[in-house]
Amino acid sequence: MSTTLTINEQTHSLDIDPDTPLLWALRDHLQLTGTKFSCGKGLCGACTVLVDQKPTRSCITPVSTLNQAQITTIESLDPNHPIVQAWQKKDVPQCGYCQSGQILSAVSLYEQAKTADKPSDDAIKTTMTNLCRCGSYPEIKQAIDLSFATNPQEA
Amino acid sequence: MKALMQSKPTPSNAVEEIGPENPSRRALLRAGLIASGGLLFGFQLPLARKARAASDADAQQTSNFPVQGWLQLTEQNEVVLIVPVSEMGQGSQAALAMIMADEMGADYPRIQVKTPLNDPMYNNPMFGMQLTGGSTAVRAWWEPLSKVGATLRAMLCQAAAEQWGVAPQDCDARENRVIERHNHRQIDFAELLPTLTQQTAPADPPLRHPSEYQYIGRPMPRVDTPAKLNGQAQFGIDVQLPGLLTATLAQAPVFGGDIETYDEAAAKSVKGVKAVVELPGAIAVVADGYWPAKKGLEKLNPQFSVGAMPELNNTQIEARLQAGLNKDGETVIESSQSASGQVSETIQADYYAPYLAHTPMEPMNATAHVTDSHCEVWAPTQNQTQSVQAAADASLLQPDQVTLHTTYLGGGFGRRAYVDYVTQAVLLSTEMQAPVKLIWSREEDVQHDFYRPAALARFDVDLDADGYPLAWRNKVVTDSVMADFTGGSDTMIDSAMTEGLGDQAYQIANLSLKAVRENFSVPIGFWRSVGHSFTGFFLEGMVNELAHRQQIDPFAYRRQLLKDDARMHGVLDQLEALSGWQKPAADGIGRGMACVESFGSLAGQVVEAHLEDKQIVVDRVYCVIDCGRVVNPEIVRRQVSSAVIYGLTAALQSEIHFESGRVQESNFDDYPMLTLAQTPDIDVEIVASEQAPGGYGEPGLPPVAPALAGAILSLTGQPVRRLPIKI
Ligand code: FES
Ligand code: FES
Repeated sequence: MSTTLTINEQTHSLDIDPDTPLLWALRDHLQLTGTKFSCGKGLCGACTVLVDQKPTRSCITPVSTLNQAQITTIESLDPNHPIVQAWQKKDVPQCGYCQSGQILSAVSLYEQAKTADKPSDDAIKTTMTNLCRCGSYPEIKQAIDLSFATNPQEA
Repeated sequence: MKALMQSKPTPSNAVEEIGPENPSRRALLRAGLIASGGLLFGFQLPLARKARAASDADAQQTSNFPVQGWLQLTEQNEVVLIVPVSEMGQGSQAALAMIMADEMGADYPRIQVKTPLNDPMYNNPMFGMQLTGGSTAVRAWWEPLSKVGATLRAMLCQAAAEQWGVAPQDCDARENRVIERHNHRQIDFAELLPTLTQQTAPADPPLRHPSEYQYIGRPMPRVDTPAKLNGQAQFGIDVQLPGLLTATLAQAPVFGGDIETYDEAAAKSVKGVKAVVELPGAIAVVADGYWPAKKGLEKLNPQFSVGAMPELNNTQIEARLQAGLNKDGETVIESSQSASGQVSETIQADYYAPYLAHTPMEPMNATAHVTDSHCEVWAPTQNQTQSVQAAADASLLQPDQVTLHTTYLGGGFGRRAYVDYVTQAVLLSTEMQAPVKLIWSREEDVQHDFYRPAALARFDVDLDADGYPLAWRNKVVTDSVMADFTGGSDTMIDSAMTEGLGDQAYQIANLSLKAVRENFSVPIGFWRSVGHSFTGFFLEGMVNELAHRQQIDPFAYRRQLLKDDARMHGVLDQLEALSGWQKPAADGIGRGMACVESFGSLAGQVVEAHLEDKQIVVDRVYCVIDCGRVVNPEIVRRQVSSAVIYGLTAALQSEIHFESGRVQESNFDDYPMLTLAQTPDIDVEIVASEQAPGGYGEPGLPPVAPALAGAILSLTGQPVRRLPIKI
């Protein structure tokens, strides 16, 4: 059975079981390996992609639910996006394994708050639930703050 | 595996001692043309008196080891460094690249870095094997890499000086060019390539004076960051090969068990499943992707025999550790100078730390492609030497028929010093006669780790009238990680069982330290900061308790015990100032502190915490580290704060439980880690020091649990003697 997915503005037709999680469609069928596997149960966020702009844990999202969806992975992110720039300036990654997911979660936070004020510390804390075993949290927080300190309109 | 930790080289990794009179395969200097143009340099360490220019034979041979050597200079005037460590987040690639760049005169921001294939030339000088661990990267490699860099700089300067007709001393290398000091002439490294191979390597090229450093000591950006922002960084799990199959597995839930029954037909009914393969103590499903492999495994319904300890549970473990306290054990230290003074009371306290898992974010995995004559492996491993041996053993080939590619590691923390996943991937590829990538589920990772062993300690301390120890008796009961790693005997006692307890900076006249080994047949291993991860909690917890009893300030109490250890006094002074210790804590906030020397560095911490609905909330951690000379202060800060978060996770939340011999925890829901929201503010200061470099990936961990315990003690008046901390 063929499943149609729109990923990074490209349409792909895949012959895979409809219960296949998006994560494995990306990694095993489309060689988009920037999206990572870690817990496989929606607990950690390493597999985060944007589905219609919303951070989504792809390890528990079957491809059958994504017919009409616009999917964005780390590979298509604009390197000039203020979040990516802030991540570079703050040299956030340690091992780096969780960072695709962290960045996409932060991009979504940024895009939602772009026209408003910088999100409160509490908002950052409730949004950024991705786990990082290396403990890069202080730098993640600093990078998000920095991305809002630079004028969001320039994004 | 057994021979690998011995310093005697095995035949497979013996380094030939060859001088210039006797040039052969391993030349002292190898500078050869490479296919892509440019030059490849490989220096045998330690550097010999004279190096040999490349011969035709050399140039031909370079094609056999495309990325070997220490660095490449390209015709595009780029410098490619081969950095001999696994990058697992600790920033060693960047730190070592900075050292090389400074010493040779390369342009650090433009530098490219590669991780080498397996080769004994990259053996960590502190271990005698190709292994990243023990916070050794900078300590082990600073000097040898500096020598390589200085040698190359000298040769570049000679080549330029010859061309210009000036003295080499009047030249220096900076930012991928040689510069003549007086006339300010400049020439790119690339333009010197044709004459570089004719230069003789100087016997003992002088290293740069630190005042000449451009990069060392500065917070330079990491070389690995850009690839980690766009999904391009290649971790083990990302390896792609033509015709690659994917496998996942189930391992015997009770350690030492073996596969008994399974429903192969059911597994094979899943579309995409190719095969079911038995492995030692495990069974794997091989498919054309992870998802079908996992679905096949669910249908397989494997049943295993119960292994060595089918009854094991935590009550039993603790009871046996308790019983161990009554054994004599082995004496580690027995110092009894006759102490003056009257014993006014004797305090006894038992401290306990549980089994812990590592849970790096990237699950265990490896990729192998075995043919009749060759075994190629891609692995996120800290341990190349044992990976190669494991691959050779599993493929029935010789170690020199194994090629190992080290990818980026999605975290290591000691877990990836073990190579079980390499053995399994190689067995699977051999069986399938195809390239196979093995990916463990998170559940397998949590339930089949090499755990930080549980440990129990008893202190018996005789106090004088002022509350200071006259005699200090300490016994530790735990398992031996070194025995497990090196294949040592069941009764072997290793230094990690008691490290930090006898060699600590406190001066106590009558110190008795004993170790008792209890072996539970649970696989155990190096966990970030190894023995210090529990001994730091034991010792510093006890010191805090004693100070608290006597109502003496914990800084003051330690200063008295330390006597004249100037370095630790310096750490305490700086920590006291940084944390504002002299000012009283805010209402409801408890404060505690601890200081531990480990891996050649000294670290002190103050933790501020409060209680909210019987939950511990950690507000702030202040850290001071003295790790000697520093290559990149920002990387040091990150590693200390990373270790604090790793240690706080353990102190607050982590414990592996056994029931009927099975690990009960399985994923991040029941074996959680700190989240961003739970992470306190962390301040890190580095002591300005000219001392020899120390480690910094691990030393930030041991003080955090006892400092937090001290904060709880100050709030509740109750000493905390168990991890994880429960109110
Ligand atoms: S891998 Fe998807 S949430 Fe952890
Ligand atoms: S950077 Fe290693 S898990 Fe987050």
